[in-house]
Amino acid sequence: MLKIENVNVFYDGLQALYSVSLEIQVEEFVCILGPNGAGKSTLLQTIAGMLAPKQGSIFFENRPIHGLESYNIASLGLALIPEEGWLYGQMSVEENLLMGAYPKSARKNIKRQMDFVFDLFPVLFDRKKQLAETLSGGQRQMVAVGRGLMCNPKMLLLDEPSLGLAPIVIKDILKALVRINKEEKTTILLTEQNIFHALKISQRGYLLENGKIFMQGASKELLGNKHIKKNYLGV
Amino acid sequence: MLLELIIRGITIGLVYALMGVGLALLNGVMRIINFAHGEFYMIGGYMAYYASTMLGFQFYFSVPTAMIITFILGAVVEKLLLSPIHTQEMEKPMDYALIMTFGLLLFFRQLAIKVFGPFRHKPADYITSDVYILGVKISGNEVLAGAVSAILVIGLAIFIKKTWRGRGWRATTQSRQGAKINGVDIGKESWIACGVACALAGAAGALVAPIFTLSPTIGGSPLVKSYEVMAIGGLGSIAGSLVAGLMLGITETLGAFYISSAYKDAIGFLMMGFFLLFRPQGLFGQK
Amino acid sequence: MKKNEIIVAVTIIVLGLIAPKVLPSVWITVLSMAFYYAILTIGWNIIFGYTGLFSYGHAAFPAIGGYTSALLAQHIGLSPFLGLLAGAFIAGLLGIVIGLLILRVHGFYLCLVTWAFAEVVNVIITAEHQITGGTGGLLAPTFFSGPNAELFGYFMGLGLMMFAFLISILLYHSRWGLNLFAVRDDIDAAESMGIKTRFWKVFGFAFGCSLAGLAGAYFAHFLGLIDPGIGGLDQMGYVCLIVIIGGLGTVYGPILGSFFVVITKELISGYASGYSLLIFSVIMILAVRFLSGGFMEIIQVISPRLNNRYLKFVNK
Ligand SMILES: Nc1ncnc2c1ncn2[C@@H]1O[C@H](COP(=O)(O)OP(=O)(O)OP(=O)(O)O)[C@@H](O)[C@H]1O
Ligand SMILES: [Mg+2]
Repeated sequence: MLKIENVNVFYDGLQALYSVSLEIQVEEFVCILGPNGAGKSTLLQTIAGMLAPKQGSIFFENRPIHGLESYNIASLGLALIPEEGWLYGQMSVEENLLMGAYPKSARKNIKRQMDFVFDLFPVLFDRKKQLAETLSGGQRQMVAVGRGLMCNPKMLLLDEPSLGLAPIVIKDILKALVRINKEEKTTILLTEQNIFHALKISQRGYLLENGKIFMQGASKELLGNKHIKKNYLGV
Repeated sequence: MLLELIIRGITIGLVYALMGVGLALLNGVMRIINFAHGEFYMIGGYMAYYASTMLGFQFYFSVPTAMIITFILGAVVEKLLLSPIHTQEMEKPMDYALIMTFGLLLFFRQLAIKVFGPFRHKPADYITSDVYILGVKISGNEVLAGAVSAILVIGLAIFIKKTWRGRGWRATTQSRQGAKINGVDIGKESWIACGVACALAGAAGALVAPIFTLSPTIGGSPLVKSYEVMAIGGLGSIAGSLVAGLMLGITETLGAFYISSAYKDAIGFLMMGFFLLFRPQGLFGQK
Repeated sequence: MKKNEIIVAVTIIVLGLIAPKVLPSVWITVLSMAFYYAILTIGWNIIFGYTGLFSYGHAAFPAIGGYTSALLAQHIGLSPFLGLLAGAFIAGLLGIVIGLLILRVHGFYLCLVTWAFAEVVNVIITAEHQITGGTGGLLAPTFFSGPNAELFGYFMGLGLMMFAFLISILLYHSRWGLNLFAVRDDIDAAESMGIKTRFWKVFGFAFGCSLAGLAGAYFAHFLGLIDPGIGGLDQMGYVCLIVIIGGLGTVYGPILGSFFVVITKELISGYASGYSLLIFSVIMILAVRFLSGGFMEIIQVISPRLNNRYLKFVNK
C-alpha cells in the first residue's frame, strides 16, 4: 500500500530524517513510536506532501508520490490528521468536516461519511453548528480525525491524536481508530507517545530515534522488547 | 437636504464596500494586500468607457466586459509577479507584496497616462433618467452603481458561504496547512481569487465612471477607501465591509457638506486610524 | 567602519568635489537632487531596511521638515542652517509620536497608519493655504546668495549626504544596529534575548524620520521653494524604488539608487520625458521579482549569498 525508500528530509540544511524506509500492507494498522523530536511528524508530513524529501522515494499503491503537491496526494485517498489539528477555527464543526471532503472524488458520498463520523463521535453531532475554535481539546481532536475520514481515505496518517488528552478520551479515540481499521478497511499509520496503548491496538510497529529507524517488528514482540521496556515503558 | 446626502452617502458607500471586499478576499486567500487595487478600478473604468464608445455596448455589456478584462489582468499579475509568495514559501510575503504591488501601482498609473492620455474622459450616462427615492431626486447612474455594487457584494458573500470553492477560500484563510492537506490547490485558488478581487475593483470603476469621469490617477481615492473599509469593517468580514462602506460613505458626504470638502478625505483617514489603533479587529472582525 | 566603506566614502567626496568643475552647470541642480533623495532614502532604509517597519508615510517627513524650516525662516527669520536642525528635530519628534502609535499595529496595518498620517499631513498643508501657501507653495530663503549660491548649496548637500551616509554606516556596525536587525528579523527572539523591542522600533522609526526632515529642509532652502508635491504619493514611489533598486537594508543601496534614478531621469528627459517613472517602475518590479537584493546584489557577485543562490539555481 505504502512504501518508503531511503528518505532523507532536511529543515533548512538540518537533517531530520536519515534514510528512512518502511512498508505498509493493505488494511494494516501500523504505529511509529519514538521520543520527542525523533522525526515522527516530519515523516508523516513528508508522506502527505507537506515537506519535500531531498532524496528517496515514496510509493502509494505503487505510484510514486514524492514529487506531488499535498493537494494531489489528498485526492489520492491519503489523509493526514496533523498533530496540531490545523482546524478552521472560524468555521462550524460541520463545515470543518465538509472541508475534509474537498477533493472532487470525495464529494459524492458526503452523507454516508458524515453519518459515519457522527456515529463514531456522537458529541460532534450535538455540536454541529459550534465554531471549531470554541471546542475543547478532545472535541477538536475528534473533529480533526473526523475531517480526515470525510474523504473516505484508503489510508489514514495520524499524528499523535491523543496528545494532551485525558486517558478516557484517548481510549475513545483509539477505539474509534480500531473501528475505522476494521469496518472501513482503512489502512492506518499512527504515531504515538502513548506507546503501551499504541502497541496494544496495532499490528506492527517501527521505533524511530533521532531520525533513524531503530527497530521494527510485530507489536507483541515490541511490547516484550528489552530496549522498549527500559526506555519507554519504564518497566 | 439631509435625506439626499444620506442617500448619496449610501450609494457611494456601497461602491466603497465593493472595493473593500475584493481587498479583504485577497488578504484572506493570499495573506497579502494589493496597493494596485485602485488601478484596477481605474482600468475597469476605461475598459467600460472604450467598450461603450468603440463597440457601442450598453452598460449591461460594458460593465461585464470591464470585469472580464480586469479579471484576466489580475490573474496574470498574480501568475507572473505574486506567485513566488507561495511557490517559494516566502518568509515575509507581506513585505514582498507591499513593494511589488506598489511598483505595480506606479506602473499602471504611468502606463495609463501614456495609453489613455492624461486628460479626463466622461463616459456617456448609463441611465439618463433620474430616479426618485423617498421624494429625493437621484441620478440613474448613482442608483445603478449602488444597486449593482450591492448585488455583487451580496453575491460574493453567498459564493463564499455556499460553494466548494468559497469554502476552500475561507479554509485557506483560516489554516493554510489545513487547506493544503484537505486538497486545496493554493496556487490555483490564489490566481482565481486575485482575478476576482481585481474584477470587483474593475466593476466598481466601470460603474462610477459616468459619475466621476475618468483620468489615469483616479485609482488613488478608491484604494484609500478600500483600506478604510477593510480596517473599519474588520478583516475577512463581508458584513463588516458592507457596514463600514456605508458608514464611510455617509459620514463623508455629510462631513463634506457640513464641515469642509477640503477635509473630506481626512475624515476617512482619521476613522481608519482610530480603528487601527484602538479597535484593530474592526467592527465585526474576530480575534 | 570597514576598509571598503572608507574607500567608497572618500571616492564619493572626491567625485563630488570634482563634479562641478567638469560637468555643465545644470548638473549641479541634478546632483543636488540626488543628494536630497539619498538623505531621504537613507532614512527610509533605516526604517524599513534596518528595522523592518514598512513606513508608507515617509514622504510626509521631508514635507514636515521643509515646511517647518521655511515657516520659521519666514516668521522669526531663522537662518536656513539652523532650519536644517529645526526641520530634523520636528520631524524626529513627530517620528517619535507616530513611532509610539504604530507600536500597536503590525505588518501592513502599520503601513496603513503611516499612510493615513501622510495623507492627513498633505491635506492640512494644502487646505491651510493662508499659512502654507497651499498648492502654490511657500518661498524659503536659500542657504547662500550671490553668483555662487547654487554651487555652495550643492556642497552643502554633499556634506549632508556624507553625514547621513556615515551615520548609517556607523549604525549598521554598532550594537544599536544589531538591535534594530534583531527587531526586523525575529521580534520574538529579540524580545526573549532581552532587547527592548519597543524602544528600538520607535528609535529606528524616529531616526529615519529625522533624516527625512533634514532632507526636506535642505530641499526647501536649496530650491528656495517648497510645495505640497514633496509629500505626494509619487515621492513615496521614488523613495521606495530608489531603495529597492539600490539594495534594501544595505549601506550603499540608497546612495546607489538615488544617483541611478536621478541621473537616469535627467539623461532620458531629453527624448523620453514623462517616461521615467514608468521605466523605473518596470525596473523596480523586475528587481523585486528576480533580484531582491537590487544593485547591491549584482555588485556582490562574489559574495557567498549570491553563490548559494546560483548553486541552488543550477541544482534545479
Ligand atoms: N519547521 C521546522 N524547522 C526546523 N526544524 C524542525 C522543524 N520542525 C521540526 N524540526 C526538527 O526536526 C526534528 C524532528 O521533529 P518532529 O516534529 O518530526 O519530531 P516528532 O517526532 O514529531 O516529535 P514530537 O513527539 O515532539 O511531536 C526535531 O529535532 C525538530 O526540532
Ligand atoms: Mg510530532
